[in-house]
Amino acid sequence: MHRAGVGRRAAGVAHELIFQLKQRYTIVIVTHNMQQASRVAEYTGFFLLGNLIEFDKTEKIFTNPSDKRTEDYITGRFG
Amino acid sequence: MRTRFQQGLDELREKLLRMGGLAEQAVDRACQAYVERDLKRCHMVLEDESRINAAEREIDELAFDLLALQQPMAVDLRFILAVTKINSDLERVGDQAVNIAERVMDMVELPATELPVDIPRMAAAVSAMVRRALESFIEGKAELAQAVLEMDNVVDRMRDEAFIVLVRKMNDAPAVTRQALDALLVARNLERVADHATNIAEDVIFWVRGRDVRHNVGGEVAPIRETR
Repeated sequence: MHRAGVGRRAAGVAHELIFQLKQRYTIVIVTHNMQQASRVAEYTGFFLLGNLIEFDKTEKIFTNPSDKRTEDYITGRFG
Repeated sequence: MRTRFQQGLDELREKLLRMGGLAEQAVDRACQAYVERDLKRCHMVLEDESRINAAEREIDELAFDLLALQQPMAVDLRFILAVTKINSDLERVGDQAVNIAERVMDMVELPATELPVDIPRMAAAVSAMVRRALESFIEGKAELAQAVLEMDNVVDRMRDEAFIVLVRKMNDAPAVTRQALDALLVARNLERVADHATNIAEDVIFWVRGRDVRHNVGGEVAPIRETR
């Protein structure tokens, strides 16, 4: 799901929809928006140049990732 | 944006280090005041404390702004959380220095007496803990912080020994009870400073390794890569 250019209110509606749908479905979201990923996802994967670098629980990825490249990306040190 | 954020983190680090220097100085001055029965130094400690309190407010404000405006993640988020906790521990170190200074102000009114307790030795151990805890923060090294945790037991033992010998002294020589009580309270204040140094060390470990080692939860510290 790619939501470039979606306003704050529409994004809020989309998040609400995702929360409802995830009771019954597995949802995959592709985003560059860190806040969106950390708010919505239960698990997060970090891809870099076509490779899956790290996949873990969202809390882990955003508070203490295992791979330095993940940390550098989510802390804005590159990308 | 990121550069400004990095500048904010650097500023936070520098402010905390300056505050750490003030807190360390306040404890050292309070202990010297005890040894030399020096009222002038006691007043210097009171001045140190008001500067420490001002620094605490500044650091909290800056940390709050960075959290609200930059939404930091991972190591940066852990760093800011650690700074806010260390900030409040340093402020309390300043309070303990003031407590010691107040004891000294009480003591100088009384006749000087020989007491069977080595406060300067305890003060040296406590100062070393504060200094090393701050060094572990400067270097971003969990090993240094770990060493501080181990020193806490030594200071606890010193406090227990001080308690035993000073209570005995109060029984044997009731005329010096007030002096002995002052010394006992100084020993307790120093032991509290050591507890704050321990908290600071635990916060450094949390920042560097992402692991909460408080209250012996978190188990053995794994060799996770060091970050700064």
